[in-house]
Amino acid sequence: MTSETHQHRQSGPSARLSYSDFEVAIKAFLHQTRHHTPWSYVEYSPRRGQPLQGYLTLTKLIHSHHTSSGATSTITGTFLTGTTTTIDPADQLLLDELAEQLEDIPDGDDYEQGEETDPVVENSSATTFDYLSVNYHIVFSPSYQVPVLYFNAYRPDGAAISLEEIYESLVPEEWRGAIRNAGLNGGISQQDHPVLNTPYFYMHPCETVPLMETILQNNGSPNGTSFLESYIVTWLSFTGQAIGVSVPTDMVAANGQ
Amino acid sequence: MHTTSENPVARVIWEGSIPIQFIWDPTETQGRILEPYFVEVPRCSYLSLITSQIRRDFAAKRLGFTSDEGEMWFDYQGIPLKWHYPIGLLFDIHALQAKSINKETMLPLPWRVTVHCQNFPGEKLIKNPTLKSCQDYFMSMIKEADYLRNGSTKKVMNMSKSDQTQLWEGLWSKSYEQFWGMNQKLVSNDGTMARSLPIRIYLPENCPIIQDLVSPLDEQGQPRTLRQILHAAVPDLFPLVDVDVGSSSPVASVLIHGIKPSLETDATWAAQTMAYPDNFLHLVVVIE
Repeated sequence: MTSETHQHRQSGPSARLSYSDFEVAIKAFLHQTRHHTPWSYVEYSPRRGQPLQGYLTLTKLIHSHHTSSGATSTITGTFLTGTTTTIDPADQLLLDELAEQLEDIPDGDDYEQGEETDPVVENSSATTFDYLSVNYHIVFSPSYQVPVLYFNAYRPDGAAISLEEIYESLVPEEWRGAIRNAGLNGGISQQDHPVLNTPYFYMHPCETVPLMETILQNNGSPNGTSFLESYIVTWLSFTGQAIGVSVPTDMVAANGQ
Repeated sequence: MHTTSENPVARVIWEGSIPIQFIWDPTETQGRILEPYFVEVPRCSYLSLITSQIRRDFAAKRLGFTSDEGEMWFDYQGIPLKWHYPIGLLFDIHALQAKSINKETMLPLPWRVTVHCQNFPGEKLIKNPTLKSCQDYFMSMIKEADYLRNGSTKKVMNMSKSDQTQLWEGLWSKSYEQFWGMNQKLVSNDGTMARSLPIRIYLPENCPIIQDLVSPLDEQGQPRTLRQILHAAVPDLFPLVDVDVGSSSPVASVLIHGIKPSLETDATWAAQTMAYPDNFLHLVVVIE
């Protein structure tokens, strides 16, 4: 009840979401991405006697290429379904196989020409090639009233990587400066996941409302439903790229109108 | 500078402290039994702010000690303590709330906290508990509280760097005047009514923290009380009215800074006066 009482519910769409708006938005997003990306919907009981709430999760393998100079570029790879947060040694073989199947698509200027011909020949050499299992969560923030992107990234041995390693092996070089300098302490920090209460990295949400308001204003006058249904695709196309989760461009075009 | 002497409650809260007995993890001292380190720390402070004095004590007792501040961590009864929570909140959750669940009667003082310098539990605790990390986290809470009150973080982001630093420095140096001289503007929202009150509710047994949007006024335009907020969040623990006052004791109550306030307290007043320095009113639910 408190969540609705102080808000003046406008008739038109709003960049700020209530939880029920968020649920409509993530369910629409799940439907839109069902053939592209295996996001899953996780339901949880926030407390006894109250309606279930949900968030989205995705686990994805990201192939990060370390050049000899120490610079890196990230390469999007194969998806893994499920919501595993650490890599079980039993899954190691499967992961190794998947890593071999990753398409090696360079996307950074720092990529050295001579090295891109056959990326998997020396797949056992961790110093040359590495991949990360990244666990993404899209969770509602009751404070900011927007979706927040939480994530943790794990090395093949299951160890979680640090913030510095995230900047180096997950964030494309062209984004690093901007994200490091965002806000008071940079755009990425660690805090407790609001549902799981364990540490996750997250993209700071305090600029999401201004961003989505700009989109809303520049989009003509979409009816409320379509703005809400395209909310996650639009937001994620801005927020996710920097940390390796992308939205197919045709979807952005299709949903942005 | 804003005068803050007219707020005796805020001052008493600021001066609240907890005696802690720090015990070294015996598996990390090569079998040596080291004397514990006793210290009285402000409830409003953070473990990261006292790490350096613990390290000094440790170094004095143990030859060859090397560990950087980013590796030290603490537990109480085997549960790692979140360094980004104020110490008073940690004590209320891990000592007092747990005591209410286990029906213990002894007050767990001094609070016996175990110190570790190895095997940092990165899956349970945010990494790198340095002073800088703690300051960053503290400022992110201040920002979030500002967002709740104003719908944007402009008030904090428009503060000069030195004004922002004054908040942290005041906390770090335990200077009530320095901290509240700056913080008063934030919590009072420059005299305008907040959109929402920065409140978090902690239920027992590691339930997700409750943080609903709570407006200062109820549907009748009356100031919302703590009881109304708790009832909205967990109605079975906090009935709206005590039907037969005196005939049945309440199921649950809340702790703020270790005390049980009247549930009829005006929530806005509580949020302005009894918040921790991070600007959040942290309500720890205890079962009676």
